[in-house]
Amino acid sequence: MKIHYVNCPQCNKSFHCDANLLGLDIPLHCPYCDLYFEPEERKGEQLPKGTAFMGLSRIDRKILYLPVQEKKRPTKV
Amino acid sequence: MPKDLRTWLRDLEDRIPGEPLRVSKAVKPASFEVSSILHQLEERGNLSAVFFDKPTSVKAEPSDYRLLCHAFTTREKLAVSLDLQDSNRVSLFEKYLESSRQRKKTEIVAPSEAPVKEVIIREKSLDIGDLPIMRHNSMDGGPYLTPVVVAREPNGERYNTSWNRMMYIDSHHLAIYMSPRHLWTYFQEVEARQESMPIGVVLGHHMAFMLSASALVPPDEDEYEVAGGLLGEPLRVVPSEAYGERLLVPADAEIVIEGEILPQRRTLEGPFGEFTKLIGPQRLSWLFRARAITHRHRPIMHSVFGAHLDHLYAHFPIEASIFQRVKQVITGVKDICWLHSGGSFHLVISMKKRTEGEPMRAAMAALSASNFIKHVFVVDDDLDPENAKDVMWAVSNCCQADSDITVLHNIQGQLLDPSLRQETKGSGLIIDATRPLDRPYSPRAALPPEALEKIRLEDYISS
Ligand SMILES: Cc1cc2nc3c(=O)[nH]c(=O)nc-3n(C[C@H](O)[C@H](O)[C@H](O)COP(=O)(O)O)c2cc1C
Ligand SMILES: [Zn+2]
Repeated sequence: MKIHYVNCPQCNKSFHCDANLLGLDIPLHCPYCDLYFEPEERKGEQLPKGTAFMGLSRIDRKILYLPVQEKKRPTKV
Repeated sequence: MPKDLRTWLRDLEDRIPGEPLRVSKAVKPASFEVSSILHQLEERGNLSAVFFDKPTSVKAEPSDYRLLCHAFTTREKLAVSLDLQDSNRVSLFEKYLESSRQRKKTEIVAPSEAPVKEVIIREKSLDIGDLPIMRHNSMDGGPYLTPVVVAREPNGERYNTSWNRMMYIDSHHLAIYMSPRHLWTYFQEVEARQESMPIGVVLGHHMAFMLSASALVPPDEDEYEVAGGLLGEPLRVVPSEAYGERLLVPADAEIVIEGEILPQRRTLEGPFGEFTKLIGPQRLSWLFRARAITHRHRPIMHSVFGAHLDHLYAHFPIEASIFQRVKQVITGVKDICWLHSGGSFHLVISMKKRTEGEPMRAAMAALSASNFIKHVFVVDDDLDPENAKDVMWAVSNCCQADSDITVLHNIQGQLLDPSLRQETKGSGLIIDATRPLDRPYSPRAALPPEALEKIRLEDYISS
């Protein structure tokens, strides 16, 4: 699996994720400070339209579950 | 009395003096306190099971739960789990292989006879965050459970057991990671019908039951029956609270979270430390929603310590199956062992070589048996394959690089191996470090055993 390192905009610490995640319209989750954030640059290769990823042909915010408390917070960053 | 985690603990206490170590002080598992204790013990070579009397919940509040860790880490504990007196590795392999063949039909019991139903918490009032869930290594995406997941085959009667790490998200949700094996296959089928898949998240039982989750069993066989074989008695099961007879769960478990993997939903999961001792990246995984938690009074939760020795030892059934395959091909194979420093990627075979070329065949049998293996070292049967010093001695003294080392190209690798340049294909290595048969060979330096036995160091040197 290709990976990509990202920096959290809040605590500035770095962690790695599946590089494909950057090509999707979803936030990432900082394991250090728990922030959900949009990665600054979407460097990931965009998956061609209709490509099945994890068994689904479309991955967007609707299918992504975020913790209950996260939904109540105003959008950050 | 049916076997459960409490009978396992009593057997452990009877057979291994001093185990488990007890920690009576309050600890915060979600703040790395449990993992810091386990890591330091492992660094000092103390691989005892550890029982935490007062672990706090994810929210750092006092809880009713207790926590058991390092239940695998040594052969002696595997011997307790498999009810074997001797803890020799080959005896353990043989006992595991024989017991797992003795399939036993499950026994369905009434809820009133099921200890796991002593306390029932329904959907409205449950909170997964009440459990003492560990953060294992830095960069973990959240607190992680390491349960055995039980699931019924879609449209079938058979049950699958598997280890699946699950990351805490909130009161009712966990992320679950499934690599493309049996559980994943079940879910593919269910999700295609836009349905959810009920599962039981088992957080503590007799370790023979837990070992069934890493058994390599063909998909058409029932792993509840394999668990019965390993326990030496039928596994007792009970209808679940949320799904009734549609999902039978182990009646003698300590804790079961009942719930389902949801279709068309995914969530962020990770990073998390793998058994390779590397941290796997954050990724999309599947979403689990809890419907009920049932547990015994004063429940004992079991957790495997991720990316540490415990994690590798929990894969023991896979090592046993590799032993069986290699032994079938070359009967002179005496023992096999994963070198702990290399995780499962380094396998050592010790064997009595009868003809040149046999070590190669033994190594190829191991490589074909499992993609957990990448590099194979073959040594003579006078060496202990578990002893890395012995193995490196053989590599340095019995091996010529131009003729005894073989690189294999284009074999299937392990997804967890980041050194793979191509997603699934990589290379393998065989080092034949057995002594040649066609000429006399210098013996290994050693002392006369009688002399060694006669001298007690304490009589000469005061420490
Ligand atoms: C402690 C531990 C944790 C594991 N975590 C996972 C996991 O998160 N996902 C997974 O697919 N396999 C995991 N495995 C490996 C599976 O348990 C193992 O491959 C098993 O054979 C799968 O069973 P199945 O093929 O019946 O589904 C883990 C193994 C151990 C010992
Ligand atoms: Zn952060």
